[in-house]
Amino acid sequence: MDFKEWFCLNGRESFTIDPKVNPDDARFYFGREEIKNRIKAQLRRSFVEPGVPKMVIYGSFGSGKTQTLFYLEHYLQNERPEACRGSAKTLYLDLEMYSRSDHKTWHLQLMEAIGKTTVSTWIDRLFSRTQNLDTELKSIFGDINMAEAAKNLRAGGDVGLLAWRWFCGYELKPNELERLNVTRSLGDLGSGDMVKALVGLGRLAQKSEEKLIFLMDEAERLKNVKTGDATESLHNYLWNLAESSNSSVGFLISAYALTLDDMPEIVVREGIRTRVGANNFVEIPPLPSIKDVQIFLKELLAELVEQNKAEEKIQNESLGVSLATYPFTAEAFDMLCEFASQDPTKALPRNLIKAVNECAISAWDERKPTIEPNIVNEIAPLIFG
Amino acid sequence: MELEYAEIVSSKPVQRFLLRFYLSDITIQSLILISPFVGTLEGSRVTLDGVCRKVVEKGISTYVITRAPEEEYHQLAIDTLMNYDAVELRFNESLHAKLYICLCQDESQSFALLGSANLTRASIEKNIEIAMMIYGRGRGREILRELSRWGLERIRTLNDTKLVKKMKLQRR
Repeated sequence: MDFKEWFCLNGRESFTIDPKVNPDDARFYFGREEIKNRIKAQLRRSFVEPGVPKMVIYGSFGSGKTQTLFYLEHYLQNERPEACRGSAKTLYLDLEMYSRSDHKTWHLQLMEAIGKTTVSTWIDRLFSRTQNLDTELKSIFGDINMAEAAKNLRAGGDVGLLAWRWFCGYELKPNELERLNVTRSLGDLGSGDMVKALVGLGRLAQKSEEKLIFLMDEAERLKNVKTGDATESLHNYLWNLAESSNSSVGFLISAYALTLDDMPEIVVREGIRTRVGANNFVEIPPLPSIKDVQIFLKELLAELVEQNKAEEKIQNESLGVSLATYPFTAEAFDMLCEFASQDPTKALPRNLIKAVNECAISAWDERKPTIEPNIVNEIAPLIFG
Repeated sequence: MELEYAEIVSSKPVQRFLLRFYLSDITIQSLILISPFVGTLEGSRVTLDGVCRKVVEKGISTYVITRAPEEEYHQLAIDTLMNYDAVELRFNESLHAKLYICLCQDESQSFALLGSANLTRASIEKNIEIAMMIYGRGRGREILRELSRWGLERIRTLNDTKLVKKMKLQRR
């Protein structure tokens, strides 16, 4: 019998959840009803005004920020809010920022997340429904160069690729610009120009009944940017994206920060705060009380342990444990909750999952069918101590 | 843009990994060393004892998986590892994989080495080795996560992986 069978795990190798490795894990959001409902309510409201979500979430390492992003993606795709017209086209990306990164870096990452094929498909759909593609594209982008470049995205070969490079913000040579029938490279007019193109793509997506929403993780890396001009260009890029006039490109930004003051400065400047709105800065705190820890763990175990199998095992082997806390004995479960709640800053989902896994591995090492208090007593202080 | 997440290392790959671990001043959470054969690395730039001292000093959870020693050099390395509370030691007689992972609090700083090289002085000084260094940025992050799960969970819970020594020091 292997570890998975030993603890009746539900189609997984361990007690770890990670939506990046296992996309099905995105549906989990354990033990945090209040914050879950609050964020969902904010999201629902955002589709009414300004039309797309613009939200910043923050918390410590292991607090569940990434899980929050994946859960919200799952929510938007599976329980689409009524006010959201069309399906949510969510795009997850880990922001990569280095000392010399600027708005062009950010723009390129967002464009790469969308992908040329997606944009070409949107234009093809528009073409099949319109009498005059040129006029339609001009109306969508509000800019002749953008409309020309978008039209060229339908072309195959070099021209299609050039058009994509133009939208990504690459500096094109004069003869390349000429082939696209445009007079300048995107971004020549600054970061606002790039956001304008992105917002245009959002409008294009809307024509295909899709709402473009970026889920940008690891935004603390904006702090890596060291040069003043680059920092300002990044701020301007976000500022433009946060503008109320943008109702076609949404974003949920997640950053490591213990408080708002720890956030990358460009994200919390007054202009951004005003545009995004105070209610849309959401802290993902540690689990606040022992009751929350208990609920988190019970919900986790209920999902990760195959309930029928576990019930059968408990009965057949007379394990004397409750299904709600299996594979922990009642005493071991209470002890783990106590340990986890002693220091509120350590009552983090990542630590709890690690503790469950390590306790299970210890029980497995001794080939014990349940996790008893002596194991928790050994493992929990190492993680929460 | 600096998006490189993998690099081929053909010169002293294990030493390269250990140096990166040893010299780093970032917050490291876990160190995973998987190698069929382990030596003390005495005479090399970074010794096994040096690694263990850093592990204790910084409170880094360390997981070592190797084969049961049959030769003296391997036994000496096991003796060294047994001296450190922060180290968990397991044996698996079927082990052939060589994988070294350094997991940092900031995931983008994490790195791993996957290749042919054992954690021995011969692999550093004599053998022709090749390995891939993977960094926790861009697509490397997903690869690192998969490798970490394999190293931290899958291989530790195989039926023929035997726990030799538990960890006692504070983990982060």
